[in-house]
Amino acid sequence: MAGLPRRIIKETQRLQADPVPGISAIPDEANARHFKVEVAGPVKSPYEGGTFHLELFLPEEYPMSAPKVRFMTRIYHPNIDKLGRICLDILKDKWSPALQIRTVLLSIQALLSAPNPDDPLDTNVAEAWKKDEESAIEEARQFTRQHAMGNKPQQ
Amino acid sequence: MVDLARQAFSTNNFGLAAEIYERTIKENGPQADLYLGLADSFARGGQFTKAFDAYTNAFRLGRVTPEKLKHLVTALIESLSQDSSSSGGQQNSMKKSCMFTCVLCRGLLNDPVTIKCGHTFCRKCLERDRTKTCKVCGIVHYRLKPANIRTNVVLSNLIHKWFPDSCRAAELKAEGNKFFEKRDFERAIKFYSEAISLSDADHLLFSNRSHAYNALDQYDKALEDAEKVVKMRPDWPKGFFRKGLALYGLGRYEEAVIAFLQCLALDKEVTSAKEYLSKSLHMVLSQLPPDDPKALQRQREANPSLFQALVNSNFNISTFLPHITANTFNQLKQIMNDTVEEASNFMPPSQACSGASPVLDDAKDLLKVSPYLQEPGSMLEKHRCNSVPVLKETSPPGSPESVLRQRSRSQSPDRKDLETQGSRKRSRNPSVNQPLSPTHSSPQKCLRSEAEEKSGASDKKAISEDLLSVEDLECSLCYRLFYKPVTTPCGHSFCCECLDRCMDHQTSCPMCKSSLAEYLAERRSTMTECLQAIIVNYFEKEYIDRQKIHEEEINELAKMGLDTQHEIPVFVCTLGFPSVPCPLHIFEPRYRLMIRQCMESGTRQFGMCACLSDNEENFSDYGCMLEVRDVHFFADGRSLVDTVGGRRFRVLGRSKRDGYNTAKVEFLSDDPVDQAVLPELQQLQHDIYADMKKWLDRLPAVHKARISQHFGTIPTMDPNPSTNPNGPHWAWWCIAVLPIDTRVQLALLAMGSFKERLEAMKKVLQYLGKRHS
Repeated sequence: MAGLPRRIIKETQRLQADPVPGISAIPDEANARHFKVEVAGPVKSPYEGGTFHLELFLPEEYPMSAPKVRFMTRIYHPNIDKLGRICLDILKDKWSPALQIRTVLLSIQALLSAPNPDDPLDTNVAEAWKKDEESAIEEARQFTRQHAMGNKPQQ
Repeated sequence: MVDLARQAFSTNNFGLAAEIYERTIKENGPQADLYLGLADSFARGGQFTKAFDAYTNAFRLGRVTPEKLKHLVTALIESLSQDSSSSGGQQNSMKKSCMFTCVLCRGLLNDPVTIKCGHTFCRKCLERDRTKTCKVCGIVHYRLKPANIRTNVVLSNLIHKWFPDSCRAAELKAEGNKFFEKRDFERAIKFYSEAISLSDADHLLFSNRSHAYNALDQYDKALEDAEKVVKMRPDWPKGFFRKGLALYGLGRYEEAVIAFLQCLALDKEVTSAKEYLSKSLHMVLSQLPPDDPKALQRQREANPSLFQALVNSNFNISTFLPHITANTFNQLKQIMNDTVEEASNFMPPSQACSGASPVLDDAKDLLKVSPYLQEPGSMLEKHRCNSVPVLKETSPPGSPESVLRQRSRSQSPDRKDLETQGSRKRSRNPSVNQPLSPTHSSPQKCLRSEAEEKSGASDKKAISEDLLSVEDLECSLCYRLFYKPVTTPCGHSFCCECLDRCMDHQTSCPMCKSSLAEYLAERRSTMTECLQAIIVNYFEKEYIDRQKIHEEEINELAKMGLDTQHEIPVFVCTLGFPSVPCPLHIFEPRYRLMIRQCMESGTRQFGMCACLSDNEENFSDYGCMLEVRDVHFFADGRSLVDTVGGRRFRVLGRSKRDGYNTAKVEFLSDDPVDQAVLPELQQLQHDIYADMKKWLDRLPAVHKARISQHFGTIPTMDPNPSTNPNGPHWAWWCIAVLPIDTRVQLALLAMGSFKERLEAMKKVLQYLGKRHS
């Protein structure tokens, strides 16, 4: 299909006109399907105070297939691995074309608030989390301080 | 004798039945039962004058229960429906398409549910209507379960936004109904009245309040409300029913009879109206004074009415003015016809078209003030009525009756228009098997005719500008104005095309994840008519734009392969060959979409290229167009597509669209054959054909069977191999059948000369022959 689908244009416009609190998503100038995303660590989570950079890409088949999202900032989280890949059902088999960039980002924000060690991606982190949640949370805080504060987006 | 009469009656031989009854009465003397039988026979035979005579006698002779009048009721209803059907009053097809109105209650849609045929009703109305038949289109939905259909979200939100007062009134009405059910009619009336103060054009509120007043025996108030209902919605049978009940309560039985007949003229299935009609008739007949002409005279003067004239004439005037009663009854029927006609021409006041022609009004007035009806019976009347042609069976041209006839005739073309418009509209509905021609009429034209249709038929109300937001009618998949909106059983609406594409991937609703397997299996995809009507009526400009976009998209698809710039869709799978059939099983989502686009754009073809490596984007450089002959869909959305090979092409550039591969191509054809070498070519063809036959003959029977099952038998040889730009059919058949590598087949496909191809085939056959020996 020639050009950008109307849906992507509208979603981008609406994201900018009415952004999700704590999240910014800016399309790449060279490729409008590519977004640079910043998610603020949710309050009362071990990620509070951190700014997490993500990249979001809308594949050719979007919205029939889910956006591809990856954390660029290192994060200590049972559902996010060292490469920044995210284990989130709506990005995989639970994707629906009625979901949007906005709902995806909200879900990621919610995932930071409520880690789910029972459906892990990084088994080491998940085990640590299950064994001793308090120290795992402390570790996550440490990671946040180390990687997600005063950081600049990676190229 | 009576048995014989009954037998004649039960075999619809009413004339004979009447005759036998008459004779029996003469022989055995008058008896109530005999007169009743006689009356029933006359009534069913359509002789109402005599029937009323006989009923009167029956009533005079003994007790007759209302139930005994069932034949009279049946006959009256039959005569009404005969008349209305002959004047074109087909009730079901006359129901008009609406935006916010439920055809069942004629009120604002409350908790709207959209059923499979694309029509929308109030949930309560649909639950109450047990016929399982759509009252708009007449389609029977055998498995219709309103409880399993969820509220149409888009429509419901829109109605709440646009008509907050009416919605509040509907809530108050529901409250009132609760009290009504608890038989607390006074409280119910309070709620209905409050609702009316919010929404004074809602006939349902008045109807319910009338019902409650009836229950409290406050018939005058009940009548007042019922009159309002009838005035607001002359097309709603229940309004007349309420009116009839109130009149019945007031003891005005004759008027009640007329009201119930009006109700039944609009819908002859209303059982309670039949019951009350029979009760009212019973009361009317019971009230007849005994043989006392003076009492009769008094009554007539006290209460002159159309019905009175009818009844009176049955036992008095008819003796010396036999034709009058029949005519009077015809007039009663005319009133019924008027009811039906008025109902079918009815439009809500906000957009009713201005008055009928003066002639018609005159005719109506004449009918109403017909002097005879005012004072039947006097000698003066006799004279007058002879001169007033309205009462005559055969009336000269120009007489009121003929005017009336003309009137109904003059209305029939309108009706025809309406019908043809209706069918035109239906034919625009999306259809799986009918590919949309890319060159249909311009959007403006389409829209105008659609708007015309709607303006005559819809319930358009003025909506304040700031409430009109196109985003309320936006598809949550493409973020554009709905185009051919469809609604799922879970109440979510999408563009038909968008939902189809989602269902290629998963059979659950994109919004709520509930299963759409059944919806998909039915492949109905009927447009949600009210949403479409709202779009056309309120967002005309946006709709034109949207339609243009859609047409451009389709046109773009239709231009495939027109030149080297317009890409063709490519199915990367196997090789196809000119004129050789190639059945395909389509299951991948992207190819489901591709097939739909091929069908909708009307091209009905796509390219087929072989997959030569793991990366299917590197599909073969040569391919063959496949033309779709037939598509058979499975319940789960997969399909079997019957195709046959067409032109060959060379790939110039590769690309992707909507997930499938596309290519810019140049089409190939065989080089023309020099006439000088033609005999040589024919000889070669002959030899190879013989070799091929030999090879086929040597095949094991199992293989032979499999080949003929898949490809058919070997085609006959072309006498002149140079006429077909694709080369002779039989050679392609051989190439498809021979056990050779895809790369070899591909090389053969790419060859631009039949001779070259024959020589290559010769080598192949020699090789195969050697291997065999």
